[in-house]
Amino acid sequence: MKAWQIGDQTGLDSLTLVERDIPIARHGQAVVAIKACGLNHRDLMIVSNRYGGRKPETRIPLSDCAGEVVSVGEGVTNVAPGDRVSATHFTGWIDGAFDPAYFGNDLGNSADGVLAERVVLPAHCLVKLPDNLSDEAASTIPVAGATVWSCVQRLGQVKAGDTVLMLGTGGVSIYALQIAKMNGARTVITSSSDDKLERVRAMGADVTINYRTNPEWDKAVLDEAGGADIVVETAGIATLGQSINACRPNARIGLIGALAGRGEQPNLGGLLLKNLVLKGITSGSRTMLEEFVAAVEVNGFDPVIDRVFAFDEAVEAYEYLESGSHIGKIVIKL
Amino acid sequence: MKVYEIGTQKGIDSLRAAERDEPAAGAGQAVVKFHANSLNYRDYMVLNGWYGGPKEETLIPVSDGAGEVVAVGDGVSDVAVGDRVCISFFSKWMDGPFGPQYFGSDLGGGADGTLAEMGAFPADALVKLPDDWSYADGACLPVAGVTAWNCIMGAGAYQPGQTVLLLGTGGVSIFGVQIGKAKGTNVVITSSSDDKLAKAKDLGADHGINYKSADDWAKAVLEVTDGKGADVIIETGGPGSLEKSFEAAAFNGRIGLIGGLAGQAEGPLNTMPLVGKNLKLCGVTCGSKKMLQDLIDTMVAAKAKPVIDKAFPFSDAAAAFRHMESQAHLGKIVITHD
Repeated sequence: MKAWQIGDQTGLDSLTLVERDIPIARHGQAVVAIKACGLNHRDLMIVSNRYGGRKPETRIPLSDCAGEVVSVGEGVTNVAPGDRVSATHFTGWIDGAFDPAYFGNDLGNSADGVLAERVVLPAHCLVKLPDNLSDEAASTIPVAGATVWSCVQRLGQVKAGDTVLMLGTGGVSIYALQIAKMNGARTVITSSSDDKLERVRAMGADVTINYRTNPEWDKAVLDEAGGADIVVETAGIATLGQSINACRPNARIGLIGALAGRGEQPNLGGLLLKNLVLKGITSGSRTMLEEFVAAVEVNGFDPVIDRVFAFDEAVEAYEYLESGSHIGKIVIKL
Repeated sequence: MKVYEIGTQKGIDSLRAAERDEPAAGAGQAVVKFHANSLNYRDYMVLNGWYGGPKEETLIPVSDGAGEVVAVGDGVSDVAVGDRVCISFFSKWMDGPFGPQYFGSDLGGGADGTLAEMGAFPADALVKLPDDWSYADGACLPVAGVTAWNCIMGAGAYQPGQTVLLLGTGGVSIFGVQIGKAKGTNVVITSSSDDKLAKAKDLGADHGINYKSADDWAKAVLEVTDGKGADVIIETGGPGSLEKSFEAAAFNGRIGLIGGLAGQAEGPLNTMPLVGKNLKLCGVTCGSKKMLQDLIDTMVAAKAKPVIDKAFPFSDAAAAFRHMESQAHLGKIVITHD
């Protein structure tokens, strides 16, 4: 069977298409025929060795997928051949709080990922997909969906009438917008592009702010929406000071993803005065992913797929992600 | 009656004595005759003009006070003349989450404080003292005790068996030790003084770390917790402390950010450990009256009393502030009225 490997991790050209043996399901495992894969920003970092150290050259990349179970090993009861499934990328994180051990089994990072015709996975990380979710749509969900659920539902405790602030129009922001709307929340979203803001207004964003033409976007959040109760902080330390300013008292800020990092410390005094909570979030558990899938099964889902590439065009898909010209998700279809 | 006023807010010498009419209890109010106060660092900041800008020179400073109810106004039923009470810091925050409506009701900052012979306060803000507690004991709790309570039990969502880390041996940290022990925690505390660490251990701290002699106190916290780190941290440290707290925290740890100087920009900060360990950084400004009541109930059940470092007479309040300035204390600095 065909599989992509990350190679020597010196950039996108390191991606290598190879031939591998078809995997076999041992005890507790399932073999999944991959139908579609979704890309995330961290996948770019992994192929250029910017994500927690160099990995074996044979590592299969990507963590988001949808596929069909083709065989199961002994002791597997939660899925059966023929089931349409997606996978939790921290394959050991079933429920409860985060544990550092989960980094050891992270698809496309510390464990082989999903950009292959067939992959073998622990059956307990699989989530069944409803009929109204296409393979392409489902393949965009796991990382962004579990992250959004962790941030907006678990940390945010969102309720009708809350105001949820999203920074930028990446996958996490778009899914947070949809979950916030399902909960009856008011949504505020920022972008540097009026075109992108018009598109998110069409998706239900209540207040849109162009942060390039309006650099004091934190004030705009306060003026136009009365401040945020929940912030999906995907931009990192550079925007954290303004995110804190944009909050109402008792707001919850989820600090997400690899864009966090070292920078000038913003004044955190507002955290104190407004009794805010700032929490670091690294994706979520299988339960959170299941809850996200259940929510979009009932409410419908617009995954905003920007472009679909063929399996042979994986490098082009990465290049398109790197260009930053997309809105929403990029998918590779098998 | 005698009161103190904050004056020109240029330091401790700005503190000035004044005479005022005795207060009367309006509807819903009670008049408290003070027997004791305790100091918090915030009171020192107010005297120096460092706490949210200059305030009226006639403001009565200090938020923590305990005394006897000597009069009640119309509609007051929860307290009566003769009750021994202390006063909740945000006099309008009864229960539930914090809200902007409580700003301005903070004693000795937004509203007149307690460094006076008497004061009229909303009766709802008063909490009765246990019978065997002195007024000095009762005066220690409202700010420092409730802040520690909120960091550990509220924002910290502490569970028995977890580790609580306290930085330094100020009033909040010492309450943290006592609450921690009452709730079955592993308590780790830091100080630059081995003497203070020994005293903290007498109060129940499980591990003391001298941050001057230890190369890296964050690493030392990991060592004494078998590599796990602290589940709850009360972040009272100065510049550079926050990044160390991220290092010393356990996965899913909660860090309470407290105090008037907390969180000021102070150079670079690495937030990757915050994300990688799924930490929660919580801004905590004291707490509600309900938390004050819960704290008192917990301390009574644990047979613990506030740790008083030293008491000064009301006639020499400035000496109490100077003692605070010297940083020689462990636990609370008290002012008594006689």
